Amino acid sequence: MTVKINIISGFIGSGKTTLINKYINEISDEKVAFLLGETGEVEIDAKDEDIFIIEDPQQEDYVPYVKKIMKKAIHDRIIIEFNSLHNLEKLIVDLEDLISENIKVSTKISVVDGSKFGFLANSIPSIVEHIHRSDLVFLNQIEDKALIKELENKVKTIKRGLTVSNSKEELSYVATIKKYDKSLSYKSLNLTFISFCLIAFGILFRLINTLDNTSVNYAQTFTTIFTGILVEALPFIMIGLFVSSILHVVIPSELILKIFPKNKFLAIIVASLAGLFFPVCDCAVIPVARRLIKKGVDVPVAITYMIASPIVDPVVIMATLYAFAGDIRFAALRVFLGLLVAIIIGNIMLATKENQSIVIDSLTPQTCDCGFCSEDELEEAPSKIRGVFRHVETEFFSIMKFIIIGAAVSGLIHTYIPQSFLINLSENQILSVIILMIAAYLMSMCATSDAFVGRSFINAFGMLPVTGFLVFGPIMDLKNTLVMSSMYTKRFVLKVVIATFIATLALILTVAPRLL
Amino acid sequence: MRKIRNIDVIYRIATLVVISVILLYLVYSEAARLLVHPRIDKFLVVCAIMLLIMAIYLVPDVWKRRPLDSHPFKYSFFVIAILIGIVIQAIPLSQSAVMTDRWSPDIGVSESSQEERVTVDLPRNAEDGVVYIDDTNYLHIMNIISYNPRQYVGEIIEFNGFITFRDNFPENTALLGRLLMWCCAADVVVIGAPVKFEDISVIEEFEWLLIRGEIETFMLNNVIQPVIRVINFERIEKPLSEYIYVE
Repeated sequence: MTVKINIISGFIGSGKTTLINKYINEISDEKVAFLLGETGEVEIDAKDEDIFIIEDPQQEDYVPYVKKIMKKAIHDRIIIEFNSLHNLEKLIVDLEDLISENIKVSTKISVVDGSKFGFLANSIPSIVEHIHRSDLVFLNQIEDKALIKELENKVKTIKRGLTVSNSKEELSYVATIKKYDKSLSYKSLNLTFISFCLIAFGILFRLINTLDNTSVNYAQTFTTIFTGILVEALPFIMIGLFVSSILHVVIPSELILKIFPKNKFLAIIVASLAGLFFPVCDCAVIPVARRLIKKGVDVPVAITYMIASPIVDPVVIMATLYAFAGDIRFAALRVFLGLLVAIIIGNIMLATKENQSIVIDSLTPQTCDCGFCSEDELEEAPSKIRGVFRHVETEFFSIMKFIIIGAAVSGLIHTYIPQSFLINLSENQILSVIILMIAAYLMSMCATSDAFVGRSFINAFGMLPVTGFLVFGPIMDLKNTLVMSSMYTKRFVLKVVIATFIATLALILTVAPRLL
Repeated sequence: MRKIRNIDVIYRIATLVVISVILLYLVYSEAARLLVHPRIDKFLVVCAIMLLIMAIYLVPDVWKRRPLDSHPFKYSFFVIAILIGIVIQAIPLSQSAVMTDRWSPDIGVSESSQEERVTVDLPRNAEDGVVYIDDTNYLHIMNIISYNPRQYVGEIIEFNGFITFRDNFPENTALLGRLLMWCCAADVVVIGAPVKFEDISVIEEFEWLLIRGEIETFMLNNVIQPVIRVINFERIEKPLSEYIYVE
């Protein structure tokens, strides 16, 4: 029989023991041992023989107690009550050394006093680490619904996908904890994963053999476009990640901040033109912009740079000129309107006072293990080159799944939605602009190559919708939206996508006709 | 031997090495030609080397404590992407049914348009006056002709491509074109010109032909388009490079 260990962490008075007592009331079929790292005002509602108190919690050595409980061999579960000031990572790693067929670490719960969360998170960094290591966060001692929602969002920026509950919800602790109990042990997960790979291979192989020739042709076309997008994007993503990591590891924040004027509007203008001198393509610019924000550059300035850089890239300008056989109007409009969109969005961000809280960064100094998580460590670092590579590697794994999903969706659209379908929708001018902007978004093509595809729509749609296609495509597309969503809060990503769409549409319908 | 403590790092190293090997294989086997422009090759090689260095830097972590919350299924996206690439093989898009849709009447000029676009002389051969179009000038000359077809009526041109039939073309007319790639397979379009045969029934779709013909014009969707009246043609093997890569 496997003994499961639950860790319930929180500060004194946050409500850990109350939570444990609720849990005990719900549970009846298990014999539970309690390992207490502290004793608060509330007592655990259990028999003395099941309660074990750590004599010297400062030593943080829980292993002998766990061994002692295991030796008794009468308990199904061990619940450890743990103070947020103590080192949770050490506890988990120590326990993982004990893991065998007979014991495993199950659900980890952080109990947070909602009324003090803001103060505690700023003054005691370990609370962030505890939340990051948890499976479930329980917001306690907070009644106001709006405040609960705000705190939930804050907690989810520390760790995506975290289950957050609060004292207003009728939470079944048993159900929640058992949900995690059901998850397999790491060892069996590895076996399951290898089986998954083999089964996926078998299914794909079997599937392709049952398809008729036309379906095979479509599937192969999808693979060609999907892998084409991935292979083409990969080196440029890497460039972006390296630039981002070099900014992080090598270049001090003060130096970057000096580039931009203190006047925020002027800084936005400078950021919009920075792409001319420091061009980064649309795949690569997202991590760079995120790093600029983490370095202290204002959000409106970094986002302006992110939007403008791909469109003022000299390579993109030359490609547009070439695609339209030297007709300068499209290239000029593309750059001019792209810059306008970037400046408008920058000012919207300025007006709505967006700040660093939009950035989701799982690599906070408390949770990062790559050795370069804080600028304070730069001087001590054994090798900055190693730091750069480690950061690139960490970010590579965190964003690649979004690139893969984006490439797959884009491949499906290229394969299964014929261009003639789009052309049949081109009767109304405003609708045509919208359709081609959506097409540019979904097709997720590289900014250096979309001009020729845009050109092929000229006769069916006209110049205005094609200009919309050319301006919006490099600014925002599906693949990059997914990458952004791995780095920024959902609310912010949605805001940027909608704002850029509306700003581009408005400029195409009002400014572009006067200039074409 | 030291105990391996971090299986998650092994997954990471394996992923980085496999991607790196795939990239190098694509470049050195030239399989990448189906997917991306040759100018991307050097970036792919550098990227593969960087991935390998990242993997090497990870190796010492195999014997360190594993990170918490590690879960092998987070690598399933990579596995699925790689499996799709292996099981469902990429094809030259000239064999794809989807590509018949990837040509739309090019810029051309509307019938009512009085616009005089800048035109240039076609590079005629000094001996026979024929304009020979090859991979190096295919895009350039097709661009010139489609931009202002009336200017070039009567010129004799010779070019190759694969045939696709289109419902909205006049009788005995098909499209002879090549695939044009700027960056990757997602931006591939067909570039070429309608060609008019005396009897199209002898031609099969997707056949590769070398055609010599005279430029004429016809109306398509209210736009004047060039059409090449075939003087003679021959069936050819498809070229080594099916795509024309824009430099």
